[in-house]
Amino acid sequence: MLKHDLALDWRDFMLAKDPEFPEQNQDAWRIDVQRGIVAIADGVALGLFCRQWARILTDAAVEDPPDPQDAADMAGWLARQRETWSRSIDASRLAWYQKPKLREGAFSTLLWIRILPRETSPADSAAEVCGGRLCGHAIGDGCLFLVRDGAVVRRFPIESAAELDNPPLALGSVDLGRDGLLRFEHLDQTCYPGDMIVLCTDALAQWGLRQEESGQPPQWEHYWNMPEETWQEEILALRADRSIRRDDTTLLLMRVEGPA
Amino acid sequence: MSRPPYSQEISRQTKACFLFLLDQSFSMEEPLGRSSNRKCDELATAINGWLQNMAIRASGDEGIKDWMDVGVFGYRTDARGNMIIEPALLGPLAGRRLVSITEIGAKPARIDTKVEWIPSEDTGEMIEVACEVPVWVDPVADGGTPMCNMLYIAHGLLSEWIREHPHSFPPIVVHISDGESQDGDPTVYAQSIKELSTSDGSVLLLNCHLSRTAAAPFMFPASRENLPDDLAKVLFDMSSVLPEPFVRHAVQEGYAVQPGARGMAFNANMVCLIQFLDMGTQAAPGLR
Repeated sequence: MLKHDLALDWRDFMLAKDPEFPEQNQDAWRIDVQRGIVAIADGVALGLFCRQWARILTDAAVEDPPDPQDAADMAGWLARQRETWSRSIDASRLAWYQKPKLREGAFSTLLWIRILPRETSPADSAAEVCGGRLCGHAIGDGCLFLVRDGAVVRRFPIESAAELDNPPLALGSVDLGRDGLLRFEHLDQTCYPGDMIVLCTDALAQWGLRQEESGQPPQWEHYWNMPEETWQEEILALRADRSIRRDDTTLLLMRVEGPA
Repeated sequence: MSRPPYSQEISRQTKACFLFLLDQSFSMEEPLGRSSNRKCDELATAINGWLQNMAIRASGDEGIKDWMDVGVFGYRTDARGNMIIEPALLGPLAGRRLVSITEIGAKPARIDTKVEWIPSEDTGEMIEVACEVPVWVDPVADGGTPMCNMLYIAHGLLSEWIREHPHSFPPIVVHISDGESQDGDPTVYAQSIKELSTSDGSVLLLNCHLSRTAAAPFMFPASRENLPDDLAKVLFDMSSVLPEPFVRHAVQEGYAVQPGARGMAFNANMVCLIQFLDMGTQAAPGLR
């Protein structure tokens, strides 16, 4: 249980870009239900050891969430994760074709959220009193959809499918002197019992946004009771008719639950 | 949902194919453009550089993804005028007509060490750094130019590959030569190659002409008019019309490409050659 009365139930679904090699899936996610923190990341395909980098970032975002609005805190946090990534690689065992990529490092998007108690006021309705504070930070093209009564009430940080046609910003595992260009998006939203929080990586997000824009929004709750294998078959079918990009695909569903 | 041609993603299941056809005739010993370097030396450097970049690009945590087959052929004649048309890869891959990019990365013929000057990360001053340079092909310049026979053999190789990969992005053939065919009219053989296709589109035949003159290079002409000579017109006729993704990429790279532009470079120098080689890979989905 969270510190207040909101609880979180969740489902996860993953399908690698190349289903025959699931171990090469460069998406990562981590959830701490007790503390209401969730993170999702997407390693950049052409980098080296991006899968490890994505996992390092999601683990750290949940265990020790940074504050991107505090530059010093963010810089220190990023430096620690870079050190972890660097220590995890034995450069002496790399082939000649891996060494050039190692100099550039790995890249990954990152989105993390936390459900916090919300300050109430005497003017709040009975429903508002039950609400929590959904805070989030994102860099890149991981997406959140907040679903209430079957409809998406908030999209973060991406709002249109066209935004996902461009290469995303990403966190690098090597300091290339470009950290000044990093821009995080911030979310501060009320959530209520009964809400569903959807986190997904870019291929699925773009599909979802296109569906919304064409007047056929996805029914995200439809996946809640679905076996992962069935969901994977649906994604494969979407890939086959090119409705969704062939890319590592991750979907996290979280139900916000209130007091009985 | 139907999709446009030349849009198939490149993956393990739908591999790409790049085939290089290298003129190894005697005239390749001449200097390239204004450079003092021989055409054959510059060509070998460009091909080795391309293979190196492709191996790096395809590399991942567990090695090199097997998403591309590569062939490198050389053609010339011996002292008696007999054709020598054979794979040009050396070392462990010698004699192999097509190899996966995985094998390219794992089996260079040798790794040379080259000194490069790069700026120091600490001081910004230029410092000497030894760099590893993998080598798969060496320069060759001897004999005549059996271009038609080379194209005939390429047709057979590509036909076989397409039978095994009917839904892949179409093979891209890059033919690099410095002169005329000496065994007939190559346009007929080139046309046969261009008529091969996968479900994603026709094979693309790109022709690059290397010159010893200092004449200005030009790329992607859209018309036979105003081409400087008959050789250029023959290469124009041999070359595929650039499909839309390639045109779009060329425009993004700053080339003035008109509708109907052909995949052709004439009077190419080293810079032009490298740009031309890069063009074929950058425009293909999944290889950017």
